[in-house]
Amino acid sequence: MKVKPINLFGHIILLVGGLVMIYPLIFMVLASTFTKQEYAATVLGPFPIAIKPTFANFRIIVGAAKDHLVQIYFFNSLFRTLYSVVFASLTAFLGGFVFARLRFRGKDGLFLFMLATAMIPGVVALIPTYIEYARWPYAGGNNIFMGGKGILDSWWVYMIGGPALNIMGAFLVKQSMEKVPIELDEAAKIDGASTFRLIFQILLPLQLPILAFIAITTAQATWNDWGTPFFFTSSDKLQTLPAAITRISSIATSAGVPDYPLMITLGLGITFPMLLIFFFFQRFFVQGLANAGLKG
Amino acid sequence: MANEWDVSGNAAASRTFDGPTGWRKFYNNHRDVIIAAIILGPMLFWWMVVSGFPTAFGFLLGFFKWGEITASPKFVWFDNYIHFFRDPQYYMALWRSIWIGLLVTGLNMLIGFLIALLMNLSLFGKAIYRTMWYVPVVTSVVATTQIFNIFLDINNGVIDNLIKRLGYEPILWQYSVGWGVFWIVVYSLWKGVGGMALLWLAGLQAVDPILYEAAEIDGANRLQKFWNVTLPGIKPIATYAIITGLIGAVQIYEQVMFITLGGPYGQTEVLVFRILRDGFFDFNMGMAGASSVVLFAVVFIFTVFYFRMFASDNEKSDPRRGRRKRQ
Amino acid sequence: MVLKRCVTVLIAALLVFAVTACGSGKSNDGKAEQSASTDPSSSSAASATESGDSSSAPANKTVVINANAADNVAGSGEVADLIQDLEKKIKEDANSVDEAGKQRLAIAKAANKVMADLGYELKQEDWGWSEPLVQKQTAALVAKQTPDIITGETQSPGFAAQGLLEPFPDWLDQFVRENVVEGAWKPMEYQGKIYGVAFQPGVSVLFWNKDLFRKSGLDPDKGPATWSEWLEMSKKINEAGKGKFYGSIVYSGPNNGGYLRAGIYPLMNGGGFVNENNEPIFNDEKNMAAFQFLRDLNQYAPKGAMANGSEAAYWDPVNKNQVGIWAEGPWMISMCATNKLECGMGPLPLPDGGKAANITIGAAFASVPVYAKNKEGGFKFIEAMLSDGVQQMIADTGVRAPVTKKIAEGKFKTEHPELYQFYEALQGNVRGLPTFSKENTKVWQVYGDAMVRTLMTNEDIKKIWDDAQTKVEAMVK
Repeated sequence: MKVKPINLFGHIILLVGGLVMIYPLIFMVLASTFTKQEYAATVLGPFPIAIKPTFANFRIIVGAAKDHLVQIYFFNSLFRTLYSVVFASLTAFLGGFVFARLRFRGKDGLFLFMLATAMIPGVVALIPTYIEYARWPYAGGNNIFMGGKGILDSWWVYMIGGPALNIMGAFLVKQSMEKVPIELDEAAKIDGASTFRLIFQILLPLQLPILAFIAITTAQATWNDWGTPFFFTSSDKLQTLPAAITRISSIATSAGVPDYPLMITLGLGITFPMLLIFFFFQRFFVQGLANAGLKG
Repeated sequence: MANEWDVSGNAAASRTFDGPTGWRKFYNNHRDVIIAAIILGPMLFWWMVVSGFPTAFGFLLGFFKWGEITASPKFVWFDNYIHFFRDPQYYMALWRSIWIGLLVTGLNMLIGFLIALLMNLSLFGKAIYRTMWYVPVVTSVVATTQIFNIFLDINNGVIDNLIKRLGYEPILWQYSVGWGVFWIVVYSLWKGVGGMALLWLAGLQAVDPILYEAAEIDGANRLQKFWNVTLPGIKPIATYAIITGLIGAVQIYEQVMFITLGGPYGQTEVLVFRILRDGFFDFNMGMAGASSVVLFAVVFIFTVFYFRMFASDNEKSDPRRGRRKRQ
Repeated sequence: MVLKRCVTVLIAALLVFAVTACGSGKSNDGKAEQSASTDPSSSSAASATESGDSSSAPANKTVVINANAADNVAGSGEVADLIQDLEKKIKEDANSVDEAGKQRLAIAKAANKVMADLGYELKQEDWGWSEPLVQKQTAALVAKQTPDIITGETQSPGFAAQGLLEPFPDWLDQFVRENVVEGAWKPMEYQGKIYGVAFQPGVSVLFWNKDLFRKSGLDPDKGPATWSEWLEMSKKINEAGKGKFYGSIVYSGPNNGGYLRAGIYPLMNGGGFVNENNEPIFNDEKNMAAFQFLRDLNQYAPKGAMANGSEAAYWDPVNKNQVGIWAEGPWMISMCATNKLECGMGPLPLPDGGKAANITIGAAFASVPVYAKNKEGGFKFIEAMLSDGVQQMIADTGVRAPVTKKIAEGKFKTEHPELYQFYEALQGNVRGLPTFSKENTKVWQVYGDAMVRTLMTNEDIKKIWDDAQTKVEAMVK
């Protein structure tokens, strides 16, 4: 079989570049087999090989997996991620539908306004958000504004604070839905389909590939987000995996020399579930992309 | 299936109109805006509560001086903004945010696009390539910046060890502005290019193959096909990629916080990092608010500029033309 | 049309905002009054308990402490439960918790017992450490939602100066002044009142590598006593090392770790960060000699390690047996053991005509914030941590020095002579990092930049620091 030169070129670039992409992870895997002492004594090369490899760092993670609390962290992370994914996809899809298919005065202005909200640097709202949560009316022992903890340190932080409005997703859906011919809607109307059916039975399946993309990016952002649990909750039973791991690594770095191999292993620990989820979704994602011809 | 919008609108309608026929007429005439309101209303309300409100609060603080937690804020008109454009620490940080952001976005898009072109070839094992390139996107920033720091350590850094082995003087990365920016950009590219490539790939695959066939029949060569079919076809995804890329890149701070800490001599400090320090460590909420507004304005202007310049023709086209007549 | 709609939305938003702003303003006032009115009563309650019957149960039983992950038992929840869980874990698998963890558990148990005997229930919230902790504490203080005890290092004096912390009531103030070594609370004294105390703080002392001393022909049992001796020895070690090992490192990077370690030398020479009015005096004549000394010392350090933004650049050569002399906190003793370094220890060398000075490092100051719901319980917790039982436990663990005179001067002195050196250093002229009245991080940034310039360039030192002084004076003005 003859290989086309362009394909050979593609193979070389993608493979070499891909190896560069995963190289830090390879380094992490290698470094995680070091003991703290050996790591400190080694002159690090690009591929450090431990003379006395240890799985003690992994064992900490595996051992932790048996821990009741860690299981709670895991399920918190999982539910939180699922919740955000469902919400973000739904709002993105519906929002995209509105801006792609409906006609009303001030649409462009409204769209620009919503797009603008995505450009606000998030840090500015952090302290005001904290105050708002603490003063949430009639929650957590509050009377109208005062008295208790508000919704701080409760599941509401994840329920309310997580999703909001996924304008960038809506933007993406809008772009792709605009390529679906309007005649499809008309035909459905003539067949007597309600708006509800039009949205969910006819337009939704066509947007699945793009929704898969939104779902993956949302899942990844939510999973890696340690800020929300860290700032707005304190109880153990509300922590998520990344937040808990950040804590463990703060023990690893406290007082004196950081235990790099342990930290690196924990870093792998955060990444691994997400990689699994990506692999799981990826088939759907790639499959979706394949028929994402969005038959125009 | 019952039409949901009818049910939910009925109560309101009966107040304004005499009967269901009136409502039906009203609904038919304003169908789009009603559906839009039903969908967007709750979303906007939710957004207002969760982030609109706190953000407005943060922005308004830009007009106040609030030095201490226990003191009450003092209204100072535009003092914070004037200070922003007088103090090089702020306007230089803004400038750095902009040019590093543009550089990162540009490189990200360019490299991502080239990679996507290659990924779009029918190669054996392309799923593996896609995954390899996407891996950095799913890693956590805290962990991977640590790895970069291990690479850049001056005493036992992987890169310096290599340089030493080749017989050269090791480089003191942390004391050079150029290298600091270089590594921030390299990290951002490493982290972002895979996601961008997949996005471009989605765009490339969305181009209708029939168009290519048509171009081939017209006798177009590879370059002409690329120019006349591929590029126009990926324009919608390009708009998305540029806007998200820019928003993300101008707001980078984690790589700065974890890799250079703004050093050396504060010359890699970007504006969001400054806002973070102002807000939490100096409790200077006024400057944090004012800086946020400025940064927001800059991103917004860029976006509007982009829309006006490049996106006007296909974004503004109305897909529903002629619809009402037919109803 | 679009514009009109946007303007309407904006105006509506502003209106709603204004209403809530007023609302919260009102409630703020109410809160202030409330806390003002509870103040005398709580202090009187405190004095009532002090005056005698500690047998009566306290009104508010729960005390929420804000621990950091490295302290006591990690995790959040009822401390009694946390202790039980950890003990169960150790019972199942003795190796699941390391030695340090077991020692921390012992400390937590002792403290919990003292509190339980007084009728209090300890609850713990893990708020992390360093930057994230400062962020969370700031947010919590703005929202007036704090635990009863907050711990912090460099940020705590600033909170005290802003009036966010409750001064110790007279009985505790007196107890601390009489029984606790100065270095543990002096950094938290503000306008004559104590706002916090550290239960096991560290200070820097001098360490040297005996092995490298021998290789360089120096007496391994005798460290330098003066700055000039230090420079001489460093030079010798550096020459003997020929690039394989180096003379000295004093970590001086542009971050808190650097300020805490390198800031000691100006103090020794009679200078410092600030004058008595808390105004920066970076270009003080006496500081210049210290900065010159650090620049000289840097010649004998691994290139770029002293002023590096990352502490790892300093730890790495030290742990790899590549540095002759350095200064570090008490944890270095156990690290010498784990890294198999043969360490000598002694007081920090002094300049000619200088006097001993130090800066607390790794000190977690515990304070009661003004918004605490159970202030009395908070102070009782501080008292409990300073009780003989708990301090004895800290002494026995042998990682850090206790702070009460009774325990430290007891058999601890003979059992842990190395750690006793840290206790001794805590007795002298010990400070914390100052918090500047305005633009705190920016002022520190200027300091850090000037320090990096001092070490990494050949510019005139006086000029570097004059420039820095001009800059920061404009900031704090």
